[in-house]
Amino acid sequence: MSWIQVILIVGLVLMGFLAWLVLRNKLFGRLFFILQFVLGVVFVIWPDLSTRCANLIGIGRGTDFLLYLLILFVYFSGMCILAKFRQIERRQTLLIRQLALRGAVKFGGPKNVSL
Amino acid sequence: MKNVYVVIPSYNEGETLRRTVESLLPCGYEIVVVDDGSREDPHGMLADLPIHYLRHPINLGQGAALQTGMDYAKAQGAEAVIHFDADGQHDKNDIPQFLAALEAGADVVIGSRFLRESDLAQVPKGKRLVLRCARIVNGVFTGMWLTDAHNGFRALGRKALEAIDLTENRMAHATEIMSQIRAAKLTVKEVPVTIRYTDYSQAKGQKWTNSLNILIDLILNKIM
Repeated sequence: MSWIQVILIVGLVLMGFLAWLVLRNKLFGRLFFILQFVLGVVFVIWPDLSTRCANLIGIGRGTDFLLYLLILFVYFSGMCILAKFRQIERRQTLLIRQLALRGAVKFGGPKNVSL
Repeated sequence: MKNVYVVIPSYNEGETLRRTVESLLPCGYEIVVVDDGSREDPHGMLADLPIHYLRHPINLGQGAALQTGMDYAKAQGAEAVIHFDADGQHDKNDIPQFLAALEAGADVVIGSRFLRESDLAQVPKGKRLVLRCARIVNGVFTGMWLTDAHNGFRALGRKALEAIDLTENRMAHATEIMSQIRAAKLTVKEVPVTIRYTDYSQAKGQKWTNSLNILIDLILNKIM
Protein backbone atom coordinates (compact mmCIF):
# COMPACT_ATOMS: atom_id res chain seq x y z
CA MET A 1 0.00 0.00 0.00
CA SER A 2 1.50 3.33 -1.01
CA TRP A 3 1.43 6.17 1.43
CA ILE A 4 -1.07 8.18 -0.59
CA GLN A 5 -3.52 5.31 -0.14
CA VAL A 6 -2.91 5.38 3.58
CA ILE A 7 -3.55 9.13 3.62
CA LEU A 8 -6.80 8.74 1.68
CA ILE A 9 -8.09 5.99 3.93
CA VAL A 10 -7.16 7.91 7.05
CA GLY A 11 -8.90 10.90 5.46
CA LEU A 12 -12.07 8.90 4.87
CA VAL A 13 -12.14 7.78 8.47
CA LEU A 14 -11.55 11.34 9.60
CA MET A 15 -14.40 12.55 7.40
CA GLY A 16 -16.74 10.09 9.10
CA PHE A 17 -15.62 11.43 12.44
CA LEU A 18 -16.08 15.01 11.24
CA ALA A 19 -19.60 14.25 10.08
CA TRP A 20 -20.35 13.06 13.57
CA LEU A 21 -18.80 16.21 15.02
CA VAL A 22 -20.80 18.52 12.79
CA LEU A 23 -24.04 17.43 14.42
CA ARG A 24 -22.74 18.52 17.79
CA ASN A 25 -20.78 21.55 16.73
CA LYS A 26 -22.50 23.60 14.09
CA LEU A 27 -19.75 26.20 13.74
CA PHE A 28 -17.25 23.55 12.81
CA GLY A 29 -19.47 22.29 10.02
CA ARG A 30 -20.01 25.77 8.69
CA LEU A 31 -16.31 26.54 8.66
CA PHE A 32 -15.75 23.29 6.82
CA PHE A 33 -18.19 24.20 4.09
CA ILE A 34 -16.69 27.69 3.81
CA LEU A 35 -13.24 26.10 3.46
CA GLN A 36 -14.63 23.87 0.73
CA PHE A 37 -15.85 26.96 -1.14
CA VAL A 38 -12.61 28.88 -0.71
CA LEU A 39 -10.53 25.91 -1.90
CA GLY A 40 -12.76 25.57 -4.95
CA VAL A 41 -12.26 29.21 -5.84
CA VAL A 42 -8.49 29.05 -5.25
CA PHE A 43 -8.05 26.05 -7.54
CA VAL A 44 -10.14 27.68 -10.24
CA ILE A 45 -8.16 30.92 -10.13
CA TRP A 46 -4.76 29.20 -10.02
CA PRO A 47 -5.18 25.97 -12.03
CA ASP A 48 -1.46 25.17 -11.77
CA LEU A 49 -1.73 25.15 -8.00
CA SER A 50 -3.40 21.75 -7.99
CA THR A 51 -0.52 20.21 -9.97
CA ARG A 52 2.02 21.76 -7.62
CA CYS A 53 0.12 20.47 -4.59
CA ALA A 54 -0.15 17.06 -6.25
CA ASN A 55 3.58 16.91 -6.90
CA LEU A 56 4.26 17.89 -3.31
CA ILE A 57 2.58 14.75 -2.01
CA GLY A 58 3.74 12.46 -4.79
CA ILE A 59 0.75 12.46 -7.12
CA GLY A 60 1.57 13.12 -10.78
CA ARG A 61 -1.38 15.13 -11.97
CA GLY A 62 -3.35 17.97 -10.43
CA THR A 63 -6.62 16.49 -11.70
CA ASP A 64 -5.99 13.33 -9.70
CA PHE A 65 -5.28 15.43 -6.63
CA LEU A 66 -8.58 17.26 -7.06
CA LEU A 67 -10.39 13.98 -7.68
CA TYR A 68 -9.13 12.58 -4.39
CA LEU A 69 -10.18 15.72 -2.56
CA LEU A 70 -13.55 15.51 -4.25
CA ILE A 71 -14.07 11.95 -3.04
CA LEU A 72 -13.42 13.07 0.51
CA PHE A 73 -15.75 16.05 0.24
CA VAL A 74 -18.57 14.10 -1.38
CA TYR A 75 -18.26 11.41 1.25
CA PHE A 76 -18.28 13.98 3.99
CA SER A 77 -21.30 15.78 2.61
CA GLY A 78 -23.13 12.48 2.25
CA MET A 79 -22.40 11.61 5.86
CA CYS A 80 -23.65 15.01 7.01
CA ILE A 81 -26.93 14.56 5.17
CA LEU A 82 -27.34 11.03 6.48
CA ALA A 83 -26.69 12.17 10.03
CA LYS A 84 -29.23 14.94 9.60
CA PHE A 85 -31.80 12.50 8.22
CA ARG A 86 -31.36 10.24 11.19
CA GLN A 87 -31.72 13.15 13.56
CA ILE A 88 -34.93 14.26 11.84
CA GLU A 89 -36.24 10.70 11.86
CA ARG A 90 -35.63 10.47 15.59
CA ARG A 91 -37.52 13.69 16.21
CA GLN A 92 -40.32 12.61 13.93
CA THR A 93 -40.60 9.38 15.91
CA LEU A 94 -40.97 11.27 19.18
CA LEU A 95 -43.62 13.48 17.62
CA ILE A 96 -45.60 10.56 16.21
CA ARG A 97 -45.31 8.74 19.54
CA GLN A 98 -46.75 11.71 21.40
CA LEU A 99 -49.64 11.85 18.93
CA ALA A 100 -50.29 8.14 19.38
CA LEU A 101 -50.15 8.39 23.18
CA ARG A 102 -52.52 11.34 23.25
CA GLY A 103 -54.95 9.59 20.98
CA ALA A 104 -54.87 6.36 22.98
CA VAL A 105 -58.31 4.87 23.41
CA LYS A 106 -59.51 2.19 25.75
CA PHE A 107 -62.27 0.27 24.03
CA GLY A 108 -65.07 -1.01 26.22
CA GLY A 109 -64.17 1.53 28.89
CA PRO A 110 -63.86 5.28 29.36
CA LYS A 111 -63.15 6.96 26.04
CA ASN A 112 -59.82 8.60 25.40
CA VAL A 113 -57.64 7.68 28.30
CA SER A 114 -55.29 10.57 27.78
CA LEU A 115 -51.93 10.85 29.43
CA MET B 1 -48.53 -10.95 38.73
CA LYS B 2 -50.91 -8.03 38.30
CA ASN B 3 -50.94 -5.25 35.74
CA VAL B 4 -49.52 -7.29 32.91
CA TYR B 5 -49.67 -5.46 29.59
CA VAL B 6 -49.35 -7.37 26.35
CA VAL B 7 -48.08 -5.02 23.65
CA ILE B 8 -48.93 -6.04 20.10
CA PRO B 9 -47.36 -3.95 17.35
CA SER B 10 -49.33 -4.30 14.16
CA TYR B 11 -48.89 -3.23 10.57
CA ASN B 12 -51.42 -4.24 7.91
CA GLU B 13 -52.38 -7.39 9.80
CA GLY B 14 -56.16 -7.15 9.36
CA GLU B 15 -58.12 -10.25 10.40
CA THR B 16 -55.03 -11.97 11.79
CA LEU B 17 -54.61 -9.22 14.36
CA ARG B 18 -58.19 -9.67 15.50
CA ARG B 19 -57.71 -13.43 15.85
CA THR B 20 -54.52 -12.91 17.87
CA VAL B 21 -56.23 -10.42 20.18
CA GLU B 22 -59.27 -12.66 20.60
CA SER B 23 -57.10 -15.61 21.55
CA LEU B 24 -55.37 -13.50 24.23
CA LEU B 25 -58.49 -12.01 25.80
CA PRO B 26 -59.42 -15.01 28.04
CA CYS B 27 -55.96 -14.77 29.70
CA GLY B 28 -57.03 -11.60 31.49
CA TYR B 29 -54.04 -9.41 30.59
CA GLU B 30 -54.33 -5.80 29.52
CA ILE B 31 -53.91 -5.76 25.76
CA VAL B 32 -52.32 -2.83 23.97
CA VAL B 33 -52.53 -2.80 20.19
CA VAL B 34 -50.20 -0.30 18.55
CA ASP B 35 -51.18 0.13 14.95
CA ASP B 36 -48.10 1.30 13.10
CA GLY B 37 -49.83 3.36 10.43
CA SER B 38 -51.55 0.53 8.57
CA ARG B 39 -53.12 1.40 5.24
CA GLU B 40 -56.52 0.61 6.67
CA ASP B 41 -57.06 1.78 10.23
CA PRO B 42 -58.02 -1.38 12.18
CA HIS B 43 -59.85 0.81 14.74
CA GLY B 44 -63.33 -0.26 13.68
CA MET B 45 -62.33 -3.88 13.41
CA LEU B 46 -61.28 -3.99 17.07
CA ALA B 47 -63.65 -1.47 18.66
CA ASP B 48 -65.84 -4.15 20.27
CA LEU B 49 -62.91 -5.77 22.11
CA PRO B 50 -61.78 -4.60 25.58
CA ILE B 51 -58.31 -3.42 24.58
CA HIS B 52 -56.14 -0.32 24.59
CA TYR B 53 -55.67 1.05 21.10
CA LEU B 54 -52.97 3.39 19.85
CA ARG B 55 -52.15 4.39 16.32
CA HIS B 56 -49.11 5.92 14.66
CA PRO B 57 -50.41 8.29 11.96
CA ILE B 58 -47.56 7.09 9.72
CA ASN B 59 -45.55 3.89 9.58
CA LEU B 60 -42.36 3.98 11.65
CA GLY B 61 -41.38 0.36 12.17
CA GLN B 62 -41.75 -2.38 14.74
CA GLY B 63 -39.20 -1.00 17.18
CA ALA B 64 -40.97 2.35 17.30
CA ALA B 65 -44.36 0.69 17.79
CA LEU B 66 -43.03 -1.40 20.67
CA GLN B 67 -41.60 1.66 22.37
CA THR B 68 -44.89 3.53 22.00
CA GLY B 69 -46.68 0.57 23.56
CA MET B 70 -44.16 0.40 26.39
CA ASP B 71 -44.44 4.15 27.08
CA TYR B 72 -48.20 3.74 27.27
CA ALA B 73 -48.04 0.70 29.55
CA LYS B 74 -45.53 2.47 31.77
CA ALA B 75 -47.84 5.46 32.16
CA GLN B 76 -50.69 3.10 33.01
CA GLY B 77 -48.65 1.60 35.83
CA ALA B 78 -47.73 -1.70 34.22
CA GLU B 79 -45.65 -4.08 36.32
CA ALA B 80 -44.76 -6.19 33.32
CA VAL B 81 -44.92 -5.83 29.56
CA ILE B 82 -45.02 -8.73 27.13
CA HIS B 83 -43.97 -8.19 23.50
CA PHE B 84 -46.29 -10.27 21.38
CA ASP B 85 -46.45 -10.62 17.60
CA ALA B 86 -49.68 -9.80 15.82
CA ASP B 87 -49.23 -12.45 13.15
CA GLY B 88 -50.07 -15.44 15.36
CA GLN B 89 -46.50 -16.76 15.63
CA HIS B 90 -46.46 -16.61 19.42
CA ASP B 91 -48.31 -18.94 21.73
CA LYS B 92 -50.28 -17.34 24.56
CA ASN B 93 -49.68 -20.46 26.67
CA ASP B 94 -46.00 -19.49 26.88
CA ILE B 95 -46.79 -16.22 28.68
CA PRO B 96 -47.11 -17.69 32.23
CA GLN B 97 -43.53 -18.97 32.15
CA PHE B 98 -42.32 -15.49 31.17
CA LEU B 99 -44.17 -14.02 34.13
CA ALA B 100 -42.89 -16.75 36.43
CA ALA B 101 -39.33 -15.91 35.42
CA LEU B 102 -39.98 -12.21 36.14
CA GLU B 103 -41.37 -13.11 39.55
CA ALA B 104 -38.32 -15.24 40.18
CA GLY B 105 -36.21 -12.10 39.87
CA ALA B 106 -35.35 -11.61 36.19
CA ASP B 107 -35.70 -8.07 34.80
CA VAL B 108 -36.05 -9.26 31.22
CA VAL B 109 -37.19 -12.62 29.91
CA ILE B 110 -36.51 -13.53 26.30
CA GLY B 111 -37.99 -16.41 24.35
CA SER B 112 -35.67 -18.81 22.59
CA ARG B 113 -36.22 -21.28 19.80
CA PHE B 114 -32.89 -22.93 20.51
CA LEU B 115 -33.44 -24.36 23.97
CA ARG B 116 -35.59 -27.34 22.96
CA GLU B 117 -35.01 -29.67 20.02
CA SER B 118 -38.73 -29.71 19.23
CA ASP B 119 -38.86 -25.88 18.91
CA LEU B 120 -35.76 -25.80 16.76
CA ALA B 121 -37.27 -28.37 14.42
CA GLN B 122 -40.06 -25.87 13.64
CA VAL B 123 -37.60 -23.25 12.38
CA PRO B 124 -37.09 -23.41 8.61
CA LYS B 125 -33.50 -24.41 7.70
CA GLY B 126 -32.52 -21.17 5.97
CA LYS B 127 -33.85 -19.19 8.89
CA ARG B 128 -31.75 -21.23 11.32
CA LEU B 129 -28.59 -20.27 9.48
CA VAL B 130 -29.51 -16.57 9.46
CA LEU B 131 -30.31 -16.72 13.17
CA ARG B 132 -26.97 -18.35 13.96
CA CYS B 133 -25.16 -15.53 12.11
CA ALA B 134 -27.35 -12.93 13.80
CA ARG B 135 -26.42 -14.42 17.15
CA ILE B 136 -22.76 -13.70 16.42
CA VAL B 137 -23.49 -10.14 15.25
CA ASN B 138 -25.55 -9.58 18.40
CA GLY B 139 -22.82 -10.97 20.58
CA VAL B 140 -20.18 -8.74 19.02
CA PHE B 141 -22.31 -5.58 19.15
CA THR B 142 -23.86 -6.06 22.57
CA GLY B 143 -21.58 -8.43 24.46
CA MET B 144 -24.60 -10.60 25.22
CA TRP B 145 -24.51 -14.15 23.93
CA LEU B 146 -28.04 -15.46 23.95
CA THR B 147 -29.09 -18.69 22.28
CA ASP B 148 -31.65 -16.94 20.06
CA ALA B 149 -30.71 -13.67 18.43
CA HIS B 150 -33.93 -12.21 17.15
CA ASN B 151 -36.81 -13.49 19.20
CA GLY B 152 -39.62 -10.97 19.43
CA PHE B 153 -41.30 -12.77 22.32
CA ARG B 154 -40.09 -10.98 25.46
CA ALA B 155 -41.19 -9.89 28.90
CA LEU B 156 -39.94 -6.81 30.70
CA GLY B 157 -40.39 -6.03 34.36
CA ARG B 158 -40.84 -2.54 35.75
CA LYS B 159 -37.12 -1.93 36.19
CA ALA B 160 -36.50 -2.88 32.56
CA LEU B 161 -39.37 -0.65 31.41
CA GLU B 162 -37.70 2.31 33.06
CA ALA B 163 -34.33 1.49 31.53
CA ILE B 164 -35.22 0.57 27.95
CA ASP B 165 -35.76 3.28 25.37
CA LEU B 166 -35.66 1.99 21.80
CA THR B 167 -34.44 4.44 19.19
CA GLU B 168 -34.03 1.91 16.38
CA ASN B 169 -37.38 2.20 14.69
CA ARG B 170 -37.00 -0.85 12.49
CA MET B 171 -35.82 -4.38 13.13
CA ALA B 172 -32.44 -3.44 14.60
CA HIS B 173 -34.31 -2.75 17.84
CA ALA B 174 -33.89 -6.43 18.70
CA THR B 175 -30.15 -5.92 18.99
CA GLU B 176 -30.48 -2.45 20.50
CA ILE B 177 -32.60 -3.83 23.32
CA MET B 178 -29.72 -6.21 24.18
CA SER B 179 -27.24 -3.33 24.35
CA GLN B 180 -29.53 -1.42 26.67
CA ILE B 181 -30.15 -4.46 28.85
CA ARG B 182 -26.41 -4.83 29.25
CA ALA B 183 -25.80 -1.12 29.83
CA ALA B 184 -28.45 -1.04 32.56
CA LYS B 185 -27.08 -4.29 34.04
CA LEU B 186 -30.49 -5.96 33.93
CA THR B 187 -30.76 -9.66 34.65
CA VAL B 188 -31.89 -11.75 31.72
CA LYS B 189 -33.43 -15.17 31.54
CA GLU B 190 -34.22 -17.18 28.46
CA VAL B 191 -37.25 -19.43 28.29
CA PRO B 192 -38.08 -21.95 25.56
CA VAL B 193 -40.88 -20.90 23.22
CA THR B 194 -42.57 -22.51 20.29
CA ILE B 195 -42.90 -20.28 17.24
CA ARG B 196 -45.60 -21.25 14.78
CA TYR B 197 -44.43 -20.65 11.26
CA THR B 198 -47.53 -20.34 9.13
CA ASP B 199 -47.50 -19.42 5.47
CA TYR B 200 -48.93 -16.08 6.51
CA SER B 201 -46.26 -15.29 9.08
CA GLN B 202 -43.58 -16.50 6.69
CA ALA B 203 -44.82 -14.15 4.00
CA LYS B 204 -45.10 -11.27 6.45
CA GLY B 205 -41.80 -12.09 8.10
CA GLN B 206 -38.41 -10.79 7.19
CA LYS B 207 -36.45 -11.82 4.17
CA TRP B 208 -32.92 -12.89 4.97
CA THR B 209 -31.56 -9.96 2.93
CA ASN B 210 -33.10 -7.65 5.51
CA SER B 211 -30.54 -8.90 8.01
CA LEU B 212 -27.97 -6.90 6.04
CA ASN B 213 -30.12 -3.82 6.56
CA ILE B 214 -30.22 -4.53 10.26
CA LEU B 215 -26.44 -4.78 10.34
CA ILE B 216 -26.04 -1.43 8.57
CA ASP B 217 -28.59 0.19 10.91
CA LEU B 218 -26.56 -1.05 13.85
CA ILE B 219 -23.28 0.32 12.52
CA LEU B 220 -24.89 3.70 11.75
CA ASN B 221 -26.36 3.84 15.23
CA LYS B 222 -22.91 3.28 16.70
CA ILE B 223 -21.30 6.16 14.80
CA MET B 224 -23.99 8.82 14.62
